[in-house]
Amino acid sequence: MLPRHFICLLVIVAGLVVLSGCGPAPSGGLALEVRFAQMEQAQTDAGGLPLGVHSYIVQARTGGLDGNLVGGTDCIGIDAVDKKRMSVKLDLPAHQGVSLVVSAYGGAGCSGSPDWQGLAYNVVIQAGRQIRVPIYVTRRGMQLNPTRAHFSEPRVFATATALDDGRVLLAGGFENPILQGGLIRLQASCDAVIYDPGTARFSSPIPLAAGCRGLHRALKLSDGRVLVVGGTRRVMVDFNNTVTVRPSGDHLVTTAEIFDPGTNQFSPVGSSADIGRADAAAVAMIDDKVVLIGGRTVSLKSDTIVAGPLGGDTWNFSAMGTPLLTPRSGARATRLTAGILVVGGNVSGTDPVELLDPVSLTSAIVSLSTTASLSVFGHSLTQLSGIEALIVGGVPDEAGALPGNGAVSISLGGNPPTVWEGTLQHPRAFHAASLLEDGRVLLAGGLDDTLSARKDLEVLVPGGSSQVLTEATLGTESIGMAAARLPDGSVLLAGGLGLETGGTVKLSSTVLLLSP
Amino acid sequence: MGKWKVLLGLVVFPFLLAGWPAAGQETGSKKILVLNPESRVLNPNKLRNLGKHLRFLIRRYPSLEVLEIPSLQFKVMKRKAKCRGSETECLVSIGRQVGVNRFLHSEVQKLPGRYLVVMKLVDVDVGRLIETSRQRARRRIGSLRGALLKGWVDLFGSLIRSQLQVSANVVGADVFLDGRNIGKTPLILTKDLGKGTHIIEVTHLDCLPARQEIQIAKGRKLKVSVMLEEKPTEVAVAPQPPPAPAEGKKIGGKEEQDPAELLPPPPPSPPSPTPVVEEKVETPPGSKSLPSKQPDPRPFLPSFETIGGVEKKKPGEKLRISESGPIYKQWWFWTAVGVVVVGGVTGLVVGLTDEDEGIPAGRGRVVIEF
Repeated sequence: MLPRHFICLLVIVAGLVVLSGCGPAPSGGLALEVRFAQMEQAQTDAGGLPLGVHSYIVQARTGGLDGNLVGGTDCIGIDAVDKKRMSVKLDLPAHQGVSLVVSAYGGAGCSGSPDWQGLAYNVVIQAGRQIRVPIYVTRRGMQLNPTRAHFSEPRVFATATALDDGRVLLAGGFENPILQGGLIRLQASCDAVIYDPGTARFSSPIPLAAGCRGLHRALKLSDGRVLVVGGTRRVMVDFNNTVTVRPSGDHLVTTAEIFDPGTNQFSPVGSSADIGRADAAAVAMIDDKVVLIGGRTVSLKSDTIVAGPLGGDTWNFSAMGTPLLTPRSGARATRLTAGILVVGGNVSGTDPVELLDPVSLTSAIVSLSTTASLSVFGHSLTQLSGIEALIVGGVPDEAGALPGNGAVSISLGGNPPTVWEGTLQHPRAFHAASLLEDGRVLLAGGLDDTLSARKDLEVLVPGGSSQVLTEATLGTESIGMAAARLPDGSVLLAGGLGLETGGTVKLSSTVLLLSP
Repeated sequence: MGKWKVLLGLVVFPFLLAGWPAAGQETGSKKILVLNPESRVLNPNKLRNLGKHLRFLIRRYPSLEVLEIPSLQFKVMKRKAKCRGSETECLVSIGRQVGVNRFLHSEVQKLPGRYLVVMKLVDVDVGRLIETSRQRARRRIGSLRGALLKGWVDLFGSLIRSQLQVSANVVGADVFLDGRNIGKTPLILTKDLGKGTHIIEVTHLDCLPARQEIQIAKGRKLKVSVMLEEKPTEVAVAPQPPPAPAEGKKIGGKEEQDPAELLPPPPPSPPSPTPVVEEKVETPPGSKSLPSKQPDPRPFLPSFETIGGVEKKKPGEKLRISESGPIYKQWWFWTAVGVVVVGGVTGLVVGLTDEDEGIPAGRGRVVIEF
């Protein structure tokens, strides 16, 4: 019954397409008129430029965006049903590594600054060959844009790593919240997905090779691969009465694995009890040596520094002889010219900032003349330059403390280090932070001092003030989002956790793009 | 030349389409092997009963396809694999032979005065143990079932209890639940929506919106079929956003389970083998004709009557309760098949006709797709 129905339908539909859909075109080929879905925004499954676009132009440049112009279109005016809303052809001289820039305008004539823009990098043009390049345009002017799909499973505390080819690897994190003893227990995710900025869609889930993990670290290496290390399979959180993010010391992940963007697969590359640590600070050095600092081990706070020099396909991690001066968990670290700057994650009252020597990895206290408390967790540390980093928000590491709105930049350019102190418009912890191309720092979501998830975004000018982006609003699941900057300057914000009444939480599978 | 390509496309396309369900399966549900628990202390009937109960629980998850093999076959496979117990390597080997992605192994052991239910969830693809759960139980079947349920929740997360299925005469219509877009028709939403009244809205650019209040109770399965009416006048092509519903309350307000609720569900009533109650809301016969030229533009608010404890619409309304048959007898199934066929053929024709033609010498062609 079923095959007969199916075959009949197929034959009828195929016949109709042949008889009525196709007819001889004036040029002698086939003319096919295809009407695509009418949507206000391109951010739908139907695709196409947003209906607000009335003209656009495509430019092809060698190398980066500042390279020589090698071709492009004239300004193309389109109406709602124009096929060029869906795609456009462009004949270009054969060349390796062309950048394609699509600038779209709400008005006719392609005048003024583009309202939407989309980019494709490293496009290879071969003579006599046709290739298809998907480009997803996003509305510019610090606007939030949706992607065309959500990722497979809602998750929080995933890592987002921008790959060299423009894609973003979103790995691990936590899912499946269960209320247990007044706290929320989250189980680690066992897979990763890749976001493709050209199609604004995600790959199917890629299983992690060495197990489920969250509160791990993902570090991009010089050859473009990504090392995923440490983490835990469970975490208990509570944002109702106090701010608690407690990685389970009984479910630590003692393995490392590496993601190869060429094969889109993870491979196990090492195992050691020393890397069994969650929420550690981590940096990759110039020689691809990976350094893990502190974290939650069998102890609540660890003072161990673990280094993993690359040895072929296997990494050998081992604890360094000289520990940190203060045990830490939830610290953040960044690699500056002078060494590895480690901030926070320790108990209040002790030295909150340490600097590790880039060669010997021995630690020294960084004395700062600031009134701001940097003994915090849930803060962000953003590298501003080779000598300067910015610390934002976080919760003081003491009983009953709430998220703060402090912003402190530390410059190691002189001796003693110079400090700038500022304030955010709103307190934040477990927020997403990303350095924008113009030097400002984006701060998105997070937990505020009323223990609510903030829906807004701020842009902080280091050394200046902070402003809330009034036209950009996140969903309610804004705690613990993963953030990564794309090649076109947009910032990808993925996943997150929202607070529900009754002590429960809700996770998000939404991914948003903030375009400059 | 172009017509030959079209004919080639028409010949090739059915073969491509034939492979489509398998491809969809690969990216969609995962196969999980769930056997009857092993035990030296319980009789086979009781173990069969427990296994059946466990598989029933797991079949609620749309992302999992439950497979089973006879206990005897499992024992033979274990012997061939030279398994001494339920080692992970052994379970992975058997799972690979069966061709599943996951293997849930359970065993009931005897402790002094108690029983211990040990459950292992194995990732067959990766070849590793995901998690082990140990739950204590008493000898009675209800307690053992409860331990299996707790173990499963411990391994996999919260238990799915409510399911909402929304279909319409228009595939791809936006579905809003309490003001939040939850997808497009046909849609299956399996999550705990929260007990109480919710509002379903179905909108499509070319149709009048439909709006409906639904009552959701825990463990219930609600099917809603919507007959959208075409808009009375031809819609201009000007950019019109789809009608946005009023901002409503959030869905999934209580997605996690209270530990107190991790108790086994009540046993199924005799006529229905599942405790998931199905409420079907569908279009009545003869109501599929197009609306009159002056349709009522008001949002429709049907009244209810109760049948068997389930609220049901009266005749003449757009949302009704009726029997449902196999999937291929549903009108929307063939509509969806038609859309896929037309889309596929169209894509194939477009893809075949514009390839590499008329490219100037020394140049390459880029087709930028938005």
